[in-house]
Amino acid sequence: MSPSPAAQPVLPDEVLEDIFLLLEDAADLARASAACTCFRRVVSGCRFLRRYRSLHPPPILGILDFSSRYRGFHPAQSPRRSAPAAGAFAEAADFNLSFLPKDPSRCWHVRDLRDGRFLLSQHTRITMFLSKDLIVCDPLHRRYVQIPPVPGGLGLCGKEVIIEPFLAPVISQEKDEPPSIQVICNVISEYELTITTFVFSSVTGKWRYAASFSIANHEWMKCPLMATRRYVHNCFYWVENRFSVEPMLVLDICAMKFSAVELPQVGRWRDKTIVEAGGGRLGLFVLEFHDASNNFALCSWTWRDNAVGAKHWQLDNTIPLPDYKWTWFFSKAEAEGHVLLRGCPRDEYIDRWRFPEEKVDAHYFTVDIKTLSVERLCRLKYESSPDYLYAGLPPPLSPPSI
Amino acid sequence: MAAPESGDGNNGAARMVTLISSDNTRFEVEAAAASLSQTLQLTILDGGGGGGDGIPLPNVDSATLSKVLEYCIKHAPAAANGGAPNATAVDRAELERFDNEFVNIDQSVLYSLIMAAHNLEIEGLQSLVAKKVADMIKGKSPMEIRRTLGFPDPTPEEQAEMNAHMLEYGWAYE
Repeated sequence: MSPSPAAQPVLPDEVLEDIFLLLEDAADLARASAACTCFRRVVSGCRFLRRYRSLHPPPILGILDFSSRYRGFHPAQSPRRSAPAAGAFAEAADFNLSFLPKDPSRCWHVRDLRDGRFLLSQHTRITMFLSKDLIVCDPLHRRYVQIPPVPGGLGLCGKEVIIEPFLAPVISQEKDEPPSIQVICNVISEYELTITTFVFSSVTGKWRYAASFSIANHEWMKCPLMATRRYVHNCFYWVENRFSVEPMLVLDICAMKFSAVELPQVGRWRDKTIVEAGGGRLGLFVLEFHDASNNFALCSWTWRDNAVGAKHWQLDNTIPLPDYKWTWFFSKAEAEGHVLLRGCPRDEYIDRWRFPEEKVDAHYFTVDIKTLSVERLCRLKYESSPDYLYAGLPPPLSPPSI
Repeated sequence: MAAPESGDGNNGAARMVTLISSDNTRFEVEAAAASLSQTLQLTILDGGGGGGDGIPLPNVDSATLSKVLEYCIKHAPAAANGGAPNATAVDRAELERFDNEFVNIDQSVLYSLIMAAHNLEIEGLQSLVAKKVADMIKGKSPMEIRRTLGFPDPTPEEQAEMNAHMLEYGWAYE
């Protein structure tokens, strides 16, 4: 280890990995990897990148719109810190999905997005028969895998049903190989008012029966696309709609059991969204209009144990939203500890029918669930539909998800 | 199983072990301090390193070993309390001050320390030196990183590779 300027000290890969894992800002990691060949080799390793991702939640890069006439990826805009990375990401990924098998008679519908993976089906948004065509793809690395159909032998043959397929979250990222894929599929019978849940795992390559539940008390689940689905601490939650006070439907994916959870009595017609609060708790954000300040506030609730062993909702925090004299809504999109808020200047919002459509804009902001900090993401046309929020890193700092 | 003799019980005096650096300097330290090294811990538990024997460390020179032991001696009491969950704020602040001062060192000493912490598997020291190097990298350009870490100037091929890389990662330079 001489300090001679000619000798470039060589550190073992594990030591370099430990150092690079401490660089929270991906831009620092990118620049470090440019410094020498050895650094570049370590940083571009899949195992390292997966470890890095599991330690540092990737930044929000933009909004994906699959249902309006402004469809496509809308990158984060300046002054958002992730704007340069979002621009690079937009150029690198193929959101037209042109790498998928061609079939001119059909087109692909995005059913879910999670951990950089898209789940697609070839049917319209509500499918009346069991879908034969499910695909999981990675638009950044232009890869896809076909998921076999839910076998008719599992007791569904010939019945008219609605399916709601979605992706289970990746549990561990710290391997060389892309993590395994789990697809969950709710098969809903509107006549019998039941949900039957099947799970596909890429490890076994098979579907298996997982759970069933009566939705007699959750009849709105007959139309799952109208409900909002959220994942929080090993459970999926379905809420009837953002303004409802009906109990939520819950699926614990470890125990594979359905149950119901009450919502706090915050009143009907308040916009709300389920979030992952700290300490393994379920959280809820509610938007309230305050007459005194003539503005909106965001209230943060958590589902806590009380002294007698039962659970109840508790109001933890209320923060005023930026004083823009705006109207605010939650968007159904969420990613990596953030929910999406959609704001519109109140006069434009009220008068929007009188303006030519393209003149009115919606302003999107993210709320960091932990810190409640509200940060501007981008400005889009009012009619745009923010279906998904995308968090990630541009290549080559994103390992393939498939 | 019978516990190996720990030596720090009955007579009140702490058990000592001897470590021998690559240049044959002998260091006598408390077993508790040397045991911060995962590599040495087993040997010490087995009763090694005492008396005239000593544990040879062919990869660590005396200057580095003395620095490493300075760290271990300072951190041993807290480590003995299981990471000192009940340490006072004053104690913690003192350790933090010591750590900051400790890594305020020449880059060549830092390299030797990184290698010693790695070979001896001293977890706290590994994290401390890794954090120091990470802080040296943050906010710098690839060229500045090379200079900070004492790398030689890039060859023309390396320079070309760096330029190509900067194009590919353009977003990281904005």
